[in-house]
Amino acid sequence: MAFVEFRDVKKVYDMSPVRIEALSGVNFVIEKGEICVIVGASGAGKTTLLNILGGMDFLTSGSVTLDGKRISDYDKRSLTEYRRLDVGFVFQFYNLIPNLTAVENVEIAARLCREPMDSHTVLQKVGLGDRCDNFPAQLSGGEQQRVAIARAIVKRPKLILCDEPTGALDYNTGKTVLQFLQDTAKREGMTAVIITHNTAITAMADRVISLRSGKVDRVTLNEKPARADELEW
Amino acid sequence: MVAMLKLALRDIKAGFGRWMSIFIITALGMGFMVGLSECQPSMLRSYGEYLEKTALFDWRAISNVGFDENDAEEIASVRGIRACEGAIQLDALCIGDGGSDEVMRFHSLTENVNRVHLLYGRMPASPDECLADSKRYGEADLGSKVRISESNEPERLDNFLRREYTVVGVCESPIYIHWERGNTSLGSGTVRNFIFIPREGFKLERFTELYIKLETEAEIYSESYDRILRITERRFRDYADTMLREKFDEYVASGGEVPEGVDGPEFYLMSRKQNLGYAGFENDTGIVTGVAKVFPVFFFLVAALVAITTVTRLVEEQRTELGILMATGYSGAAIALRFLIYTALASLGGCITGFIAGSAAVPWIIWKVYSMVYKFGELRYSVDWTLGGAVTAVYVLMSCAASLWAVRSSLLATPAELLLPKPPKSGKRVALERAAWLWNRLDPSKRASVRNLFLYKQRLFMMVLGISGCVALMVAGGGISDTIRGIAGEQFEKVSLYQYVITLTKPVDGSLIAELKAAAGGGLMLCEPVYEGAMEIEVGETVKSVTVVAAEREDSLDGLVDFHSGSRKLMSPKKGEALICAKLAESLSISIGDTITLFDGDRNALTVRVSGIFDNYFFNYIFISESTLKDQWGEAPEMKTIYARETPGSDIHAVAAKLLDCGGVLTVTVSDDVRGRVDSMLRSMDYIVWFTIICSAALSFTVLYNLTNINILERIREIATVKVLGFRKNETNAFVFAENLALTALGTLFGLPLGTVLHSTVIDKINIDLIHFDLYIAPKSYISAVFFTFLFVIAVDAFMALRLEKIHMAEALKSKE
Ligand SMILES: Nc1ncnc2c1ncn2[C@@H]1O[C@H](COP(=O)(O)OP(=O)(O)OP(=O)(O)O)[C@@H](O)[C@H]1O
Ligand SMILES: [Mg+2]
Repeated sequence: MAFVEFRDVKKVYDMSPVRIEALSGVNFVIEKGEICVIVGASGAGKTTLLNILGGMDFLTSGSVTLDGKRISDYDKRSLTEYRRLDVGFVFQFYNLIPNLTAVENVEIAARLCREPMDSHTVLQKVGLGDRCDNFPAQLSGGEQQRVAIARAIVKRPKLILCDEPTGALDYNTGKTVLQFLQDTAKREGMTAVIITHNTAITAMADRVISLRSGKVDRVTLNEKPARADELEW
Repeated sequence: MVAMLKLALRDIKAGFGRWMSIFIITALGMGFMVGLSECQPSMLRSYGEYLEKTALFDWRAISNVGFDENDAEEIASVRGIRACEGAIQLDALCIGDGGSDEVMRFHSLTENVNRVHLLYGRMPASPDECLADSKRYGEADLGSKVRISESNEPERLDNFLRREYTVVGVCESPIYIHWERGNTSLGSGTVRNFIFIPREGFKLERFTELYIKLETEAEIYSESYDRILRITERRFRDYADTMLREKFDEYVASGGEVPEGVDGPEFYLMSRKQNLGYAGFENDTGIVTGVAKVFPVFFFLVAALVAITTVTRLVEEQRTELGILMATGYSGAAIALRFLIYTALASLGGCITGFIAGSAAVPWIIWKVYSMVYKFGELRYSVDWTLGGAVTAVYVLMSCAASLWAVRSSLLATPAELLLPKPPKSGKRVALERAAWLWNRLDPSKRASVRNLFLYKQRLFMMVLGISGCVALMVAGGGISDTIRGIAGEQFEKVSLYQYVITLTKPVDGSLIAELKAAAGGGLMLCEPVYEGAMEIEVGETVKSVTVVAAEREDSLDGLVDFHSGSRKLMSPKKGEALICAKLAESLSISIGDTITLFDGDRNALTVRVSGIFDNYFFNYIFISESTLKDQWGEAPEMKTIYARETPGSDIHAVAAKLLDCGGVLTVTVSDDVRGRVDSMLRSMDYIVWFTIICSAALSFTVLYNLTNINILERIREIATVKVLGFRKNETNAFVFAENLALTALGTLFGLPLGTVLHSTVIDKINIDLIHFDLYIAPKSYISAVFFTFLFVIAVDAFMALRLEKIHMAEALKSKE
């Protein structure tokens, strides 16, 4: 059985009088340790899909399993535990807590699970060992995103979810951040799902899922994914 | 201008709750303040007009031989007297509900004085009809009968024309505005109700008393009214004495029947100040005014701060739009106008609403509360337009100033700066971090809370002010109750140890004391005659009425009155010395060693040196020695008052009834009754304190809600983020509300001393003429203030937790606005 499995997932936003079907029967799998990139036009349902996979939203019908557990059956409380222990998030706008230093931002996530990595070490791994005591406002966008990645991986999650992680970054910084993501995921054996508008990024993925109007359009497997810092766009 | 008005109206519509919070807080502050300060004027106005309408007597004369029609007419012709009317007052045992006897006080109906205020039914048309007391009788009782019991002595029964009187009406009487009906020598010793019957309903030939109305327009409780009473007293007494003696002699000469035990006519005067209702009403209603004088400051501050935070938030939300407006060429002044209109509308609306609601509701509520003790007529509102106008002006100006303060930095910015989103507040280190051992132990989410406290300074300041104000109000409110509650005990357990004050129809003589003791049947432990006289003390421009008491020997009052100042005992006054009560010393700034001059009704002066200031809580007393009077006035004073103390375990009211039955006894006042009256007044005070607490709670609730709401709005991304990270419900709540609790603790820390200061200020402002307060706040009041404050905070937090629950995590992923 695949590590992540979406089966006939539908998500309907009922905003009477209209019903918006954001996902209309999505099926795909992701294997353990893969880096999966999801692409699609704006409004295709990428964020909706990620929210469901990340346990932030409920689906309307269908099922989602992760590592053999049907998370689509979870209630609110179990979903909280699921997010807490199994999922790491990286947001487009970093979403660091402005009043906590870099290391504290990592620490706040580390405290939530049983066997976290050491926060300082993780920051070192993302190349910010000497910026531990800086507040987010004192860091550049790329640096902030690296802190956010550190915050996501410190919990040793089964799954890292990134919604447009390079969306707010320039070309070079974007590439560095992606490289960090790729390295960390490979090194720690984590499964990563990255959403992007940028089709160039698909080259670094093991698996590429294209969405179109709430349906999986195509799934491509890369035999030889490229290194992120070699990407060009 | 019109454009800005439109924008302001749109702002109001968009965040109506927020705009309402300024509106409500202004309305609360205004309503509370105006309402409370209008209470006493309204009640005094109601009372004044009621007395005007019902013509309450100024003097009441009674005599052991009674009066006739001619006496009344003659007295009415004395200069300065408008009317004089004879009346009959007679107590009788009547058959009560359960068949047991109870005492009713029968009055004859009078036309020109003490007119009754008919509530139901009609006036009596025949001698066997009566009006009954509204305290007990209602509309349903019309047609029922008041039955005089056969267990009355036959002589008493003979004075009534009938054994039954039909209730044809229910009324109030200006003599009885206090719910107590008085004491009697019959039955249980207390009068249950009053009954008014026509003059012809009594078989008595002569009147038992005369009611006198003076020719004066002086307002009730005014110094000029007191003066008129003092002036008329002596003139009138002399006249009446001679006139009555002549008439009595004529009466005896013409073979008239002299009542048993009467050897000459005696004549006594009582003013309306001896009427229970008139005596207490002013003081008892004064407490509210004192409370009204202090609270406004707090309300002003809070209203200003709410305006500031609200406009600050509004400006932040409209940042981009402001930038566009500025870029299109609107001036800073025009833009500021938009926010001025916004707050001015809120505070003006709040003021008008508050003024109307407060003026209508607060006096009405207080009137209802007081009607448990004082009940008469109808409430007449005394609306204070000047105060309302002034407060409105202050509120509107202040809130406008506050909104200008809030927009100032945005107006100074360039349009370009405004068009960029505002960078989030940068984190800041706090001093506490230097205490590494403590800091390192703190969870990161706690660290964020600590830093947030200092990052949002405006909120820190407002929360601490709001919470400390809330705590302070409750401490002060509880303290007022403690202080007032304390004085009755202090007075009657530690100062006035006597149980009875007995006034006599003539100066005490050798056998009377023994007679009284015998009548009481061992019920009196101590019994001492004293001189009690009303005098004036003048210091500079101020004149005050005082009661001067002189006892025979230095040790006469041992066990009856305890002179002390704090824990220090004071010596009884010697010749030329005086002990004055603390209230007098304070209000006239008299200190030990000063020489004071007292004047009696005839302006006879008495000069004494103050040898001590004693603790005393009710009424203004000066104690001197009898020898001083002998020395300066050349004659021994008339001892017409007796202080007596009960034997422990005796039936106080039964003894009082027996004492009242003795020959030569005019009145018997029971200290326990006075204390009971004070206590019943205090019970209604408690409602006022609760009213204050609820109002301040509402106020702090609004502040707390407003602040927490803005706090959550500002940190919505942060909250969504921690939820995504997997914070559980209680962890998320703690992350947001820990600050509230910390600020509450901090506010409480400031609030407790602030409350103590506030309490002493309020008590100082209450400053009732005849009552002296010792500042006292019970530990219980401090504890409950803290307890209730935390309860409010937790309640607001619990309510806001629902809001947190609703914050959707997807918010965290959305792009910045
Ligand atoms: N909370 C919501 N209520 C109603 N409709 C929604 C909601 N969230 C998303 N949608 C709709 O669902 C559809 C899919 O949205 P989604 O955010 O998943 O798209 P996306 O692929 O992430 O687009 P983008 O690349 O622009 O972020 C859209 O049509 C959107 O309007
Ligand atoms: Mg999206």
